[in-house]
Amino acid sequence: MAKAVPVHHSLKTSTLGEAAQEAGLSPALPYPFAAITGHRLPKLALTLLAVDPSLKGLLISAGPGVGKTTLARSFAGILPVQPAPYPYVEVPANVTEDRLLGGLDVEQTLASGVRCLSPGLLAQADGGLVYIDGLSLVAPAAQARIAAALDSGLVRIEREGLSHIAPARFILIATYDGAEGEVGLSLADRVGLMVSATPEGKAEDRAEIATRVDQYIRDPQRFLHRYAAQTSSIRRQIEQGRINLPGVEIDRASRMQLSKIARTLEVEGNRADLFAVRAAKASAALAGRTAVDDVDLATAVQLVLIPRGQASPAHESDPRPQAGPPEGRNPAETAQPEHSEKAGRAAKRPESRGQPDIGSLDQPSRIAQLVVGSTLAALPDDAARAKSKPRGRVASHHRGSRRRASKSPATHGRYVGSEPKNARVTRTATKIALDATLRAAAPFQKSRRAALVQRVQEEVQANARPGRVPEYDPRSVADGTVYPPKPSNRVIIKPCDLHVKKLQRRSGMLFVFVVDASGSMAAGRMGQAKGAMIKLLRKSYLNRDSVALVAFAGDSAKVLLGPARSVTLARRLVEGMPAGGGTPLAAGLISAVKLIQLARKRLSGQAMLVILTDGSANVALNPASQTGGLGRDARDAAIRSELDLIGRLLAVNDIASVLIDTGSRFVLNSKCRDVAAILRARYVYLPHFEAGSVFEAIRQPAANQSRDRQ
Amino acid sequence: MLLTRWLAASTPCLAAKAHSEEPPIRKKTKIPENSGLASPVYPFAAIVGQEEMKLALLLSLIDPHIGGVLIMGHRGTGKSTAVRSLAGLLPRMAKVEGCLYGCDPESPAALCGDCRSRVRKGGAPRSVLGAVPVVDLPLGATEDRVCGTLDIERALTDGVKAFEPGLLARANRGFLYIDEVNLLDDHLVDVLLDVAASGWNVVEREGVSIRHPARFVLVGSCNPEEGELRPQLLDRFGLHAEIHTITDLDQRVEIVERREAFERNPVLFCEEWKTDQQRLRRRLVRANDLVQSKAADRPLLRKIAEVCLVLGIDGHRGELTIARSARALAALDGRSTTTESDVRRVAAMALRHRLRKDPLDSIDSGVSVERALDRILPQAQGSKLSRAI
Repeated sequence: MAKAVPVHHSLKTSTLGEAAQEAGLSPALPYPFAAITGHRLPKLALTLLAVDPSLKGLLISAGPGVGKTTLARSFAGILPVQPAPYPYVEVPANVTEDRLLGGLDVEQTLASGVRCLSPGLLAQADGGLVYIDGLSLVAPAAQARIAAALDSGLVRIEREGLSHIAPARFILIATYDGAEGEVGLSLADRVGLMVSATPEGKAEDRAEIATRVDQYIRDPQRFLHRYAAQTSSIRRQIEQGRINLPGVEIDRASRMQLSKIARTLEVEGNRADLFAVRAAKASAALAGRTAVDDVDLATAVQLVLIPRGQASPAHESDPRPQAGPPEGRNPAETAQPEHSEKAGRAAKRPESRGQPDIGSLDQPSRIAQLVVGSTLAALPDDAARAKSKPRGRVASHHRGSRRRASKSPATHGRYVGSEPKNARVTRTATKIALDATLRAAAPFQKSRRAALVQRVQEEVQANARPGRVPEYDPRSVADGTVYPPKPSNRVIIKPCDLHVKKLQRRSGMLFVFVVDASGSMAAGRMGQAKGAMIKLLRKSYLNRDSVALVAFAGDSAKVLLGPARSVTLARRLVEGMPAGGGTPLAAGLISAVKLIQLARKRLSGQAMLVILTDGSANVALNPASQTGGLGRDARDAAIRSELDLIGRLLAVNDIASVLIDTGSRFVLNSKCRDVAAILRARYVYLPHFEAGSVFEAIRQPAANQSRDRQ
Repeated sequence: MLLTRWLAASTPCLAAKAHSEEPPIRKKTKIPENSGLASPVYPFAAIVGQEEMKLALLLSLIDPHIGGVLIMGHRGTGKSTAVRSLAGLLPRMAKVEGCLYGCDPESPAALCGDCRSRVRKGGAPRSVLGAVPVVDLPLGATEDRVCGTLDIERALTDGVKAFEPGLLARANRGFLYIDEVNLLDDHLVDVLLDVAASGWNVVEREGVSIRHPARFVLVGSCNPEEGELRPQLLDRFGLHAEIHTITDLDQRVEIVERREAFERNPVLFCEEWKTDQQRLRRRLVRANDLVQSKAADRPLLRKIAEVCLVLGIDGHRGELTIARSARALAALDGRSTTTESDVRRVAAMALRHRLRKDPLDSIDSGVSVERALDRILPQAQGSKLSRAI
């Protein structure tokens, strides 16, 4: 299957053709829907969406290279030809709000002196498709705007002096990789269908995919031609489905059944019921039935209700504890959301109780191996030198990000206001606030125009060459003299009018709590640790920091809560955290580092690891040192070297850390000190967690550090 | 390229529901409503369940001084639908003709500068009937559009420093709705707190210096799991309505069926619900008159204060809100005297969010309020909200 198209981190919106070209595909000839093998559910979801666009959209979650992008792009090909052409808009993951919603049209506004709106991407997509690759990388604020537009079918603009309402009824097709972050809850709720695509398991299927993709790349035209008949038959089926749809009946019993399943799955809100009914109807219409039957209901449950059950669409990264598996007897039992394993992903549900079953035994170890490998790979050659580097002084360009180069904080963020441009800000890259500039220039237009006309006349007289009017020269803007051909309506802007945008990025610390949930913590200490964490959460709430929560136990770590400001949610998770099993400290730290790296793609600011443990790390990342007949000492040595590696990783990534010793007072525990020393973390031991002071202890140096950097 | 003009876009598209059948409460001339992108709004009367939310909204329609409503709860439970449908229930109100802020011709204290100078020059301002604004504050709004700023077009063409009113001006004497209020930017929250406290919007930017009335009922909705609400903003809301996913299967099916019917043919659906809407509107008009008639008696006020004391509520906003909303509830039921059972029905909504001393405590669903009420107002048997609407 075709490789996932990389997200374009340019301000320019990529067109289908450009994106395709970049992926080595022929422009404007997307891989045909009919040629996609496997992916039964995603394909079904797309056809249902084509039959009933009021399902609003589809979220496809999958790991890299599964073909989610191919699936999404093929959708336009199966839409009915009738009301074509559909607007097709691609929204890049780093979209800015003014491009998404619309903003001031600079050229037009300057030329006419009247504010002109440049319509946003969502408004452009009215009546068509919006396609987003990597939805989870879209800023939360932008996701909220998309959700609002999906909900109301309108885009409301109240910015930069513009007040406008534009229709924006579109179908949203978005893909994301759960390992890269979550999709906002309110956006996920407003999209009708959700599926997770999984790679083909069988070798022959994979070979078939490879063959087809190869054929497609070599000669897309011919490839498309070969599937033309199939594609048009699918399209006809969809057209017929649309005709059938208004006539499809759903009886009360079926409605009840859907609502009941929704209730059983603890789906939040009542919007899901409506989507489920629509999906069932669309399924019946597609099959040519006039009444909804069990198959349709099962489809609706699979595509609408199960992903929204307490396990939500981002079921892998879902922070909330699983509310028990969905009850069996429903027709969709076969469609449990698959937990496709992601390479290099350390977080796995902690198997706190009982033996892990045989099937899952080899999974964590494979992942752990990959993690060790990727940790090593992430370390630059001079990592050893980083050891002595004082933390907090590593410049921000050191944090590498695969997806985009790091940017200076001053040039990014939300446009919150403007200030006059002066010499100080000229040197740094700044953005001109056109609205404010125009406002500043506006009151003087009359006098400036009058002065200009006079000057032109004087000049003409001085040159004594009647009929020759000085040409308009853009360079003369700098010296404040503009010679417009028609001085009547052109806006005259002088350097003193220029205003620049004041941008604000979400600031505040990101605290990542790495919590030991192992068996050794269970004896009453977990309660203590929880109490302390809740106190810390309270403090961080008051400081408007964000908090994330990683728990480790058994043989793996799990991200319970991604960076969020909701202490309500964090509290609930902390309180429900179980304890038991081994102490895979390294795994916990690695997931925390990954989480921070991910978070830094979206937020700026300092990050701090707060490690709560009793220090008795006894599970190594590398399973070889765990099982392979090695003695306890060898294992401990392996763990130590892993921790040492992680300590360097922290230094390289500019992450400060604090280790809070939760060990009991009576056992003189030097292990924690050791671990703290290895990790180069600050060590804090407070017997009964006077959390207020712990917090001060944690935050103080962090604050100092950030002050130092400025 | 679209030219935006203040007037074309300024009409709140939500306040478009026809009020033609409404008996005019004050006999004034009508102006034609420029309804912009008007599409029928889901009728309030057709909303299934969520009685607490509906009651809270109705009470704040009857008495705007209650201080607004915060609707908190699960997503997809009809929060926005309910707020947007309010526009269809609101009676028309008298406004000063040509006033940017829709000043009330009958309250000289709250007139804007323009109207005041007009009055000073002699003659009463001409009054017209207009819709009560229900203004949506979108999350992406920038400060200049919220507060208002220099009218750039007039400045460019006429060289005049004119003020272009923002959303706060538009919301004057109406409702300001913020969906997902917990996601609102901090600097906008500051502005809102300031204006909500004083009732005046003071603009000092880009050479414009102006002060205009901005009294509005703040209606917010949020899902606490998506982010916290600033405590100061939380306290600003008079009533706190909780909203849950409906679990009753019949109701759930009913919700879907009504929504489908509405989407199939909104006009027909609104027609079907016309009588119910009208009945509700008549009740509100009557309640509006009643609520001004009589204050709660002193012994009852004492008991309300006692409840707040027992619960350790800081400040007096708790008592005031209970007294006002209990009176509004009595008026909604067509009574002119407030009873203890009215107090019981509103106390939890008015106090719940004020009980929380600690941001981490989950907001009490009203158990402790209930207990305090049982102690102080023992005789009344907790009348259920289901009766309310």
